Amino acid sequence: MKLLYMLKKQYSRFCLREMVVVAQIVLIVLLFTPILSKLDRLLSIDQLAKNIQGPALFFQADDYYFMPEFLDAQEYSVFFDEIRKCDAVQEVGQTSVAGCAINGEGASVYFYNDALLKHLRLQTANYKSEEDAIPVLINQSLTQKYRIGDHIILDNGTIFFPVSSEYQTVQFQVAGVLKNNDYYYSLVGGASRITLESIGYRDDGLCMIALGSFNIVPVLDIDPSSLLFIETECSDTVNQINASIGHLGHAESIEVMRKNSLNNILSTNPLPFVTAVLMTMLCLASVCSYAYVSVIRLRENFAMYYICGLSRKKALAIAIIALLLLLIISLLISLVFLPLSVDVTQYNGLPYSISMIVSLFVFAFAIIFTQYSSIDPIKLMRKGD
Amino acid sequence: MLIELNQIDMKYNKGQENEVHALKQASLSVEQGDFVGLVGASGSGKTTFLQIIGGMIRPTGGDYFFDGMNVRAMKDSQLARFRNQKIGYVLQDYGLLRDRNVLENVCLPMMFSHMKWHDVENRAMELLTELHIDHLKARRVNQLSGGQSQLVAVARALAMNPPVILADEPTGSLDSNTSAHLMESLIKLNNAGTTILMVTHNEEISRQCKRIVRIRDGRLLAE
Ligand SMILES: Nc1ncnc2c1ncn2[C@@H]1O[C@H](COP(=O)(O)OP(=O)(O)OP(=O)(O)O)[C@@H](O)[C@H]1O
Ligand SMILES: [Mg+2]
Repeated sequence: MKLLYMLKKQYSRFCLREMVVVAQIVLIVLLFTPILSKLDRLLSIDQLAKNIQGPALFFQADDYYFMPEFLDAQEYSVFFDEIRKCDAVQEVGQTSVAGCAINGEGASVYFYNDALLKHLRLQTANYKSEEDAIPVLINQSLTQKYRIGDHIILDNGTIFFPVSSEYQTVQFQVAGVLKNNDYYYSLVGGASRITLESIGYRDDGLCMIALGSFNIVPVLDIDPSSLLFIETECSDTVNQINASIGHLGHAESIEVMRKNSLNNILSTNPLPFVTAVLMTMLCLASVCSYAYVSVIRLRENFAMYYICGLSRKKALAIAIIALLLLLIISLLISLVFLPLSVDVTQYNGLPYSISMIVSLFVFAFAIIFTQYSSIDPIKLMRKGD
Repeated sequence: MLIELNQIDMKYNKGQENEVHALKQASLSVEQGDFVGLVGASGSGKTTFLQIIGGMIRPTGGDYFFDGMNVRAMKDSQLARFRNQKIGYVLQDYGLLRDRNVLENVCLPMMFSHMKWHDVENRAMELLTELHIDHLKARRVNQLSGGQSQLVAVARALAMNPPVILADEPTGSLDSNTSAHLMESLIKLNNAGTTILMVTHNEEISRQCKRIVRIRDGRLLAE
């Protein structure tokens, strides 16, 4: 069989129809991929949050201070050794930014939870100004011992975490995240005043989507203990804790917080979802109508192929291969142009793009298959008599 | 015997309300080199009969042997090859592919064979020349007259040089000149050894056949 010739004949005269279909798919993939990526990120939060075991503390990155400006290498290595002794600390070392005070000396040191940064998909290297910087990793159990805002004292094998005026810290910043979760909150405080500055969701490691309507802690001037996420889903426990905290704070189930956050993201950011659905519909309609029209256009050829000695199976195979070629071409062109649409080094939506195209064509295959199967070539050629 | 049909029965939509018993116990033997004219009223089952012989539809009863091969027992793929290599079929309404030109239409059966491209084109041109329509080779088929279309359909049927030609009213839409010309070509082909079965309404045409088989209501009448 002259397969190439037969394939060519499956396409329209100057391949205009096919070019339109391919271009449409490529365009949609290029537009769709970043959205899919985002969608993936958003939806995975829900998945990730299911693994939450408890809140973790970390010292939020900050660009203003850098430890070596205040301490020489000898001094801060001693300092690190001391932190290392703390049973809540897994690893310690210099990081470019992260802040707290040392023994009431005014110097600021910045360190952060590296595991967290990794989770946030940040380029750690961007945050370390020194090649050999070792991150401070803070054990999760830390927060089971100390709530945010408690004094955590380095000298006694714990990290001293100055809040009160006693230590005269000018300013500090502390942020908490839920383990394995992209949400974090940030508290900015001075000697006696702690402010909930933001609660957010870090997106792409580049920008932060503020969840403005986040309403677990509505007050600005709050006590540090006011932000407390609890693992339990039992509302009685939550109520009990709330009662004991009194007006000083507010406790919330992690599960509830997670749902609120996700709802917030969905409601403040519906565009990706709406666009994704619309684009899928559009592309589906286009590919399916192409498949359908091409069957209608070619069914008499199909009948004549049969009469002239091609089995139905082979004729169907030709139609399928022709469509498959379009699929492959669309995929290849999409891949070539993908760098225009997303940063491919950071891109994690490839399976989505591929599965989108493939599922589109599964529909098209189904149409071609059922339409061709319903053709009776002999009956079709009788219409003339 | 080249073609042996034994008690062939054909029911369309078998077992359904709209069942049509198109052929009833039709038996026919055709020798190699025969020229059989099939004559019968409209709806008597002529086309059905040809299509069973051509392996395009499967009869619902009876036996069919072609050159000793049991056609009814063939698998779909074998039957397709049988149609491609043993049968040249001229459809009642030409059945030309409208998206192609004359040359491509004639080439169609050869596309399913293992012939080389070069041979395919040579063969097609040879046939067009033989039927005096080589000047039409680049024409789209919707720009052909009825007679020209019929000749292209005949050329396509001859493409694979099949031992049997089945022609369904090939002269039906032709004027007497063209139809005489077509008959001439068919007779020449028959003289060269090709077996021909031809449906016709025209008494004058049927007289040129070596045998005449009459069909009435799906039954073959005694010759
Ligand atoms: N695919 C089909 N489904 C149902 N009935 C059919 C089908 N094909 C043919 N028939 C019926 O079978 C009978 C024989 O049809 P056939 O086409 O063989 O007749 P014909 O002798 O070729 O007629 P004509 O001279 O008009 O071409 C007719 O009654 C026709 O309606
Ligand atoms: Mg007929």
